[in-house]
Amino acid sequence: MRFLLILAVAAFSLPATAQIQFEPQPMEAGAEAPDAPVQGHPVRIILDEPTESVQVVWRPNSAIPDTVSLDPEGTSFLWTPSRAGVATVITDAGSQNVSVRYDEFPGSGILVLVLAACILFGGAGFAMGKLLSGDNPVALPMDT
Amino acid sequence: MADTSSPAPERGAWKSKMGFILAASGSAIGLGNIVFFASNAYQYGGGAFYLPYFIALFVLGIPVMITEFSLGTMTGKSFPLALQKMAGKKGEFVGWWSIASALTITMYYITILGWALSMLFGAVGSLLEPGATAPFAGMEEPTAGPSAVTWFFGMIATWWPMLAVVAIWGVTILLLWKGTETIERAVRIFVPLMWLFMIGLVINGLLQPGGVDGVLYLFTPNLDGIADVRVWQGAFAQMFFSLSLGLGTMTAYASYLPKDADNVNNSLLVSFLNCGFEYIAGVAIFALLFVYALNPAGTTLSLSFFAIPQGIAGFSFGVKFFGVFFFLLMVIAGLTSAVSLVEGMASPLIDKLGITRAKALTMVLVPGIIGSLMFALPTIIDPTLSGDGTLGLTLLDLVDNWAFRYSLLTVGLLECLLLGWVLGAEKIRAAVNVHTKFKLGVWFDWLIKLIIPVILALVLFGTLWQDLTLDGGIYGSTYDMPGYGWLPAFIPVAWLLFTLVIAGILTSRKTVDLSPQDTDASPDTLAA
Repeated sequence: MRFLLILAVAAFSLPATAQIQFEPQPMEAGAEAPDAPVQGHPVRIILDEPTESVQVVWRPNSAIPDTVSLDPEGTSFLWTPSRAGVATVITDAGSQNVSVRYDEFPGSGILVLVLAACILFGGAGFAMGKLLSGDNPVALPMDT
Repeated sequence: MADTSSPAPERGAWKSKMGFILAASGSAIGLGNIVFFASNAYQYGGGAFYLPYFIALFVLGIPVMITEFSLGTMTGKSFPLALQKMAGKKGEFVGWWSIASALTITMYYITILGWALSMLFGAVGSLLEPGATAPFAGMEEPTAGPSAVTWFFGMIATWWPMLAVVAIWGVTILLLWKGTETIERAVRIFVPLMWLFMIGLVINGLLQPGGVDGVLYLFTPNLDGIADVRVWQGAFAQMFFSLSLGLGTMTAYASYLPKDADNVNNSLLVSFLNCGFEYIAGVAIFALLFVYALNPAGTTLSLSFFAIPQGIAGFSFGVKFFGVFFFLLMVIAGLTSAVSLVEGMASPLIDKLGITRAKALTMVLVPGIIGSLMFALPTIIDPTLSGDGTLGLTLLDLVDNWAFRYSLLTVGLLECLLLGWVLGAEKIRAAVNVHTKFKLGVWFDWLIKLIIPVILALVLFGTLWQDLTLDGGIYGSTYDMPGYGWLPAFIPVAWLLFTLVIAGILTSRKTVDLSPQDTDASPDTLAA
């Protein structure tokens, strides 16, 4: 816990050493650029100063982070995120988090969302129904 | 035939089924539920985490809750005395040990709740505004924008948390003053409010641009980590903590129910409500953190006090409103759990010593409030004690690690072994089946006797192994604490001594039995 507290202090209180801007680009000329980085859509990464290396860590600080290296060209270059989620972009000067939105709704995510809701709220509703039913043996009133 | 006799009036009794369900679910839903699930799900593969989570719920959570509820309804007694009736003096000792651990946990839980109350007042004032400072290295200069971290560290270095801790203890005692009567009145307001506030946060999160993507990110499974043993260990441990098992609170609450209560249905309802709350909390938190690209990995403290307020500070409108909304939710969720923790301690004192409720509450209040103030004090009297200003938080972390992570699981393990092998799980099953429509099969006996103890033992030993080896020594030994390097070894020894001595003293005291009608539940009289 303490370690994470210190991490949080470092993440939130100290001024960012690197200002990294993410400018979503249109997929083709004439098309409109999305408001935020989207999976499969190019994003222009703009740095304050040139850097030797750029790394993207998907699902940072988790048990299953995945690191991808990019080839920086000067202080501005294109990056096409291959997936959606929270990522940390790390340069020589510092790092910045970015959220990459889904290109299309993930079927597996919707399936788990619906299944979990059915089990939890369906289960609660079923048990509540049993509690409310008249043949429940408990001598207490349902409500006062 | 159903036995409809109620517990002795001196002990109190629930006036309605709804009162009990609200109180028990309010007890289970605490500070941890708001962020704990979201953080674990993020770290262990999003939707993939639901697989071990549901297995933990059905294999461990619900069966242990059925057992703890049954202990209460069958004996009409709180945890230690119920265990004594079922498994003799050994059982009573385990029960008192869990109560002593619960006292330790309540001490710092209320300190954290005091900080949450201070943050609530801060949300009305300057918490979500620029210009925060704190007397720590790197935080002396006023911040250019809102900084929840700096504000928090500034706040814990003032005397306000002491006042907040006293206020939280005062409200907790007030809510417990007339036992079930005042608890029932409070939970009828607090628990629906908690759900309402969380639903409000969900709606707000989903309306933020990118909020829906955040929710889908939470649920989309990443199977890379599913084979990792830590994922399963985390899920089983979280289920135990999340449902407030092994603390004696569920047995104390169930002891105020009639003997013919349907413990299976009650366990299902309370468990599903608790996990359902975690589900919608996950939706609210993920939507918010994703929008502001904040990292959802963290602890209850770092997410609740730093990350979420930081996200709220970025709202285009209603910053103060949502800040107050969130911290009010935290304070209410924490209060309903604190009430159950204190009731779980006061109730056995009444049962054992035959004293009045006021005396029992005082016996909990005096050490409790001293302990809570002691946890708040280090950051106030000398915020730079350990060089980086977090010795007070380190102390809390070390106590939490041993008292919370180990005691709940150990009590769960011992109660399953005692009830499964000394009393006989089949006797509990037979007694439960008399009053339930969901009849338990033989599988329940094997869960209580073998499967749950094996799982809990594996989780416990796995955790102990990590705590003794991964940090290059005992847990916390790599912390930079000039002059206080002995703390990581001292804390577990002190906690063990403290809890074992209390358990020994209370077990050896003579029991003053004020409720003769409760004597019909014992290993000899339970029909198998």
